[in-house]
Amino acid sequence: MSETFNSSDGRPVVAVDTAETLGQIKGFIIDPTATRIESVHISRRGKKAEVIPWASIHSFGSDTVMVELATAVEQVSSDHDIQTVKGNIVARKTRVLTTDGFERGTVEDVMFGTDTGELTGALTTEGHLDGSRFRSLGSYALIVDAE
Amino acid sequence: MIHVIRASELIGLPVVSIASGEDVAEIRDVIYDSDAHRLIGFTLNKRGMFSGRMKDTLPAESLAAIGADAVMVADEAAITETATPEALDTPGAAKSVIGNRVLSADGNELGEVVGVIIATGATPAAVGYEVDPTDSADNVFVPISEQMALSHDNLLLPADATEFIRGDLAGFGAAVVAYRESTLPGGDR
Repeated sequence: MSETFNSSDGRPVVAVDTAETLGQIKGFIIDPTATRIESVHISRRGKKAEVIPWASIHSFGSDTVMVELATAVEQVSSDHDIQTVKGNIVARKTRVLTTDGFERGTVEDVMFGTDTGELTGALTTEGHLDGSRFRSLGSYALIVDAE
Repeated sequence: MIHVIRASELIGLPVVSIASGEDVAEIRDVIYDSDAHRLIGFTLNKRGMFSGRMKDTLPAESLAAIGADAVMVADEAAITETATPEALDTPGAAKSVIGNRVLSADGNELGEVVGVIIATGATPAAVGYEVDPTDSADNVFVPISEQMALSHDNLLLPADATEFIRGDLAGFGAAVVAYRESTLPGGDR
């Protein structure tokens, strides 16, 4: 199954063991080489930003995301995670820059596989980008292989 | 086909790491060896609010690519202080080509050098000079060759380069390629 960041926004995250709603999806933390989702950023009223590692996700359902254990929720700790949660490293609205130094619009949405969390592509202001071209995601740009 | 850009247009471009997607610096100035007609590298400014001169420099050898929107490096190691070649430390010592008169081999004065033209792409290099002609309003572009002699006030254009002078930067890239092919029978260097 394939999903996108935009369509996942606000989706409830529920723990299988306690049936408790842990929060709503606020965003995604992507690994620095822009290949997969490392963790899901969730928010819940009155709480600081929290993340759930992708490995803890039982199933990424189209209505609800199920997590095995309620204890899978983690505080944000690494610098990379903090920068993402603060909005400094986010795929969406980031400029696309080719490895040869040319801008190719900005990212509007990101597609991923719900089984693996692997990024499969992006929708940009200039069209579709295949995930195989992704090289890295930083605060300045999503770097992609030149055509 | 190669893409070319005025060296002056590189000033202010971000230096971006392919490994991290971060803008690690921005181009402060272009360091150019007039004697060898060679791009040596760049001095750098910090990015962001606390911008200012960086001690580190970016040697041309450490570039991954120069594009219209960014100067690309493989990673941040490209701009370490230790990578700095001697020529980058003493840019003032290099003889400036800007302002020199350009003379053709048969003694015609073509004009005055107003800029250096850089080929973008994966192997960036200086490929030409922008010349403000003595007898016309529109600037022309002359290809660089190793045979080009430079004194403190004159730059001598070899006779075989004359036919590759172009009036537009867009067409100059193709002229540079054609000139190289004409001087190097048997292919690329």
